Amino acid sequence: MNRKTSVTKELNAKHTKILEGLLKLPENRDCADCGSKAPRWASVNLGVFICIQCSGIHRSLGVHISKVCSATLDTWLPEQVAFMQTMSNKMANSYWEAELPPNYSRVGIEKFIRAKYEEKRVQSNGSHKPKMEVEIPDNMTSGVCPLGTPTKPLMISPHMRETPTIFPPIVFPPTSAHKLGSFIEKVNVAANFSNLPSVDGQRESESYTSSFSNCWLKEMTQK
Amino acid sequence: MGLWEAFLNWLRSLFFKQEMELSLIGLQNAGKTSLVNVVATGGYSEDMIPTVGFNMRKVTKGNVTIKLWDLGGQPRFRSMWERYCRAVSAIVYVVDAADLDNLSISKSELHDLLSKPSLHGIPLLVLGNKIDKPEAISKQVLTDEIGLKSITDREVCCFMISCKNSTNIDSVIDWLVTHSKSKN
Repeated sequence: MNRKTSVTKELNAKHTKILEGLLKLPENRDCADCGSKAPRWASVNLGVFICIQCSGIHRSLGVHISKVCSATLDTWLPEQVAFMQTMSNKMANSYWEAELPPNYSRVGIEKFIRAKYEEKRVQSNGSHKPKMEVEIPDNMTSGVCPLGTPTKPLMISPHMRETPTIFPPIVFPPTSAHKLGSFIEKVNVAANFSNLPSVDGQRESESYTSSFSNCWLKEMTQK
Repeated sequence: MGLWEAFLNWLRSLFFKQEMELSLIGLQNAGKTSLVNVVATGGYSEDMIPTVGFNMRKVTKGNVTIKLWDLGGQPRFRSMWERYCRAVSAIVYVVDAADLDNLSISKSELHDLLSKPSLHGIPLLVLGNKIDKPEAISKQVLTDEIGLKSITDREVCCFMISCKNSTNIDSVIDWLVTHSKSKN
């Protein structure tokens, strides 16, 4: 029942190391909501790193919207860490802040965060919410992982210990096509708003799947 | 004159004032710091940042002065709960009644704590917070989920509260105040 107690000390130390690594990435160096430097807290179901001030506001949203964990003080579940590895503040914001005007000033941060995650006022209007944001990481072992792969390739396995951000080649099974569909749409919409380096030149592409999987793989291997 | 006043005040406090010490514990984001604020000032703030370490606050209700140890709920801080619970008048355990996923962790942390010999017999007040949220569970469900029936070595009481709407906060304060009296 209580799965957090099953996280051993060694595993916890490993998680801490991975999270530290994630926090050093340029895309995670600023709080996803207010932009302040060096966030140390995270929303484990939204996949964003945030500062302690914004974490307070996230906590007030309720756990059905945002589950706040500390990168340094909390015990994490393997799938939560794995989920954070698949996400980044930049990726998350390309969805949640897709419709945000570029020079938006973030005064009244509480209102902004509520508008962003609760009322979803500036999120990508490209249809339905991608699977990964609704998926609560607790259920990820039994359910779908963000990339729609059949097994759990993103779980941390021993051979990935040295290189936690490199994932095995992604094979999309036909059964998860509909889940993948929403994800592709999301990335495609995101590409119009943020300048993801790997999708340059493919924005107008008709074939969603190929451009997506190319850029995704490229991005993965670049890491 | 001033000295005499002070002396009289001190004498008076000896006979009429009562003190009690409480420790507030529970998982992170259960609403411990919010509860302290509501009890102390009656004000509720939406964006309560996580408590790193602990807060201490003295609150006077009637003739009872309550010293509140508000401890951080993150796993890193849970090992120090026991230290702050020794010799308190009561342990207040706050649970987020709207966070169903964490109920089992909340239960095991509570029972772990109560199994410590140093805390034997200290009364326990369990508060199911956030009943303003639609997904919050009922008192009966909470009692079952947390396993309160199995605690037999001490006085146990349970209230469902909402710090946001100040629901049942009065009953909590009443319980605490009467408790300090019966104790002394």
